[in-house]
Amino acid sequence: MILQAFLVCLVAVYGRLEQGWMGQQMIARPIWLCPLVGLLLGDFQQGVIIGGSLELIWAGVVQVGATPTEVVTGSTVACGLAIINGLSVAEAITIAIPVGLLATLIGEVNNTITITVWSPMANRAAEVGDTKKIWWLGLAGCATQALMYGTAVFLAVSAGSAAVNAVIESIPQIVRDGLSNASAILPAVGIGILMQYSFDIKFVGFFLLGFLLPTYLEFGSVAVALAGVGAALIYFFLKPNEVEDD
Amino acid sequence: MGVSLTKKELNSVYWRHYQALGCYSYDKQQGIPYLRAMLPALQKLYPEQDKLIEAMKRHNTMFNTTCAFVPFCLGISCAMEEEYANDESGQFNPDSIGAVKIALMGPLAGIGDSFFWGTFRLIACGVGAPLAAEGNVLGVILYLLLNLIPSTLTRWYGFKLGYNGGRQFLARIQADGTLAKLTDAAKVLAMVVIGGMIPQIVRFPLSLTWEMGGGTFVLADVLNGIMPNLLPLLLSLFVYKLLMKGTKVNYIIFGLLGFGIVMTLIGIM
Repeated sequence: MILQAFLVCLVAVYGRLEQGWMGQQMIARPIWLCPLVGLLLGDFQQGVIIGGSLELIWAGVVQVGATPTEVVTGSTVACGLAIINGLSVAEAITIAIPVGLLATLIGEVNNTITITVWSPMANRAAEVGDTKKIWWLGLAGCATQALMYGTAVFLAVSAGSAAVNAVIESIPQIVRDGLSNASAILPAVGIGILMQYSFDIKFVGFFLLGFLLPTYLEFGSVAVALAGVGAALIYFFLKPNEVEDD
Repeated sequence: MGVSLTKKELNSVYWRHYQALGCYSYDKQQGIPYLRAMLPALQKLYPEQDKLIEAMKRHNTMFNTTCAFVPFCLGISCAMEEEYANDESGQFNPDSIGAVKIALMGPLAGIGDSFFWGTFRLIACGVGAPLAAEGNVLGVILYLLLNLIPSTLTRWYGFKLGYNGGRQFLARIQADGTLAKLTDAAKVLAMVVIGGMIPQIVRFPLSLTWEMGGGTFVLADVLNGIMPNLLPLLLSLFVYKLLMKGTKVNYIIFGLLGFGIVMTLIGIM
């Protein structure tokens, strides 16, 4: 169990470093991290399924600035516990949500460290032209973050795998069914958050178009995306440029 | 011409951009990693210590934009530092180097977030996640490719473009309206994809039925007769409305969890 917890912790650390040291390519997400957890724990297939399901729920949660949910911790812990204890996808989701919420606290602690320790150190290093110090300071914030999250994930998985079955079994069946139904409607939250980014009432027709294609014409997700590309091209080439006035 | 940057320094600056979030702080955001990335160029351009310190302080400031556009900004900063280091007339004001960074980061973050968080990642998610949720590994591969390809191309060509007259290019497409149109076209694409995600990822399982006269009334069938996926659509719009009113995401998540349990208890779901 200790080894398994350590393997899950490695994936969580990788997820942190992907954002901090590898250019945040938008892949420190459940859909990529859960299959990695699955691979290390010996059930790749289940990792893919949990990853895809969590990605759908957290599609709208973006990792910029203050985040409502910490998806790296939430997805690695939930996926790890689910595979170790043979839980269902719905149960994995039930674990992921509170873990993701709690983990945002670690981010707050790290932000405090960065502003009180690393940032003033960088100011002094710049004053004296210490390039070597700047080299490692530029990596330090993410290192402390990865360390803290990694430790939390390790503790959560090693302690949780003993307790999680008992906790889940103590929940009445009807409530578990309720949670399973709730996880079917939860992706609406992701949609709502995404709409905040892009929704513009003048483009509501495109939104409707996207909704109708799978509803009535059985379009799959790739086909919808391609139709979207078509719509964007039509818009771009038919709309005259509005030249800014100087 | 005095000192100029070679491929060697430019490449190290480029590769160091990958650590742009290596030390994110509230006061400087990506500022420290930005300075770290500029160092190979600064050390080459300013062999004298006092000039180097002046340049390091210049870049030890607040900076923040979408990661994929950091190379574009670094390219511009490199070109401007090079110009300043070789300026013998005293005409070049070094304050403009910081001013350009500040001027760029806002609009670039706006475009970048809507392209990378709001469009490419979204399409990748819309295409990949439903496949992965069914256990198809192709979903994971498609998700990776759809994110990595546009992001890598933007980084690499953005850096080149930034170094080779990026400022003028950006000013031109901003002035002739192409930039605004491009941002809107990305929004159009995102709107189609978001609209299309609703029927595919939001489900509203209804189990309510009752006997009536000779037949059975099935609530789900009645609603499907009006329009399939009507409830997922209305629910998504409702969540969006709540978010626009400033309701915290976590309250909505817990609200929906509670809603699901209550609806199951009373037999509607």
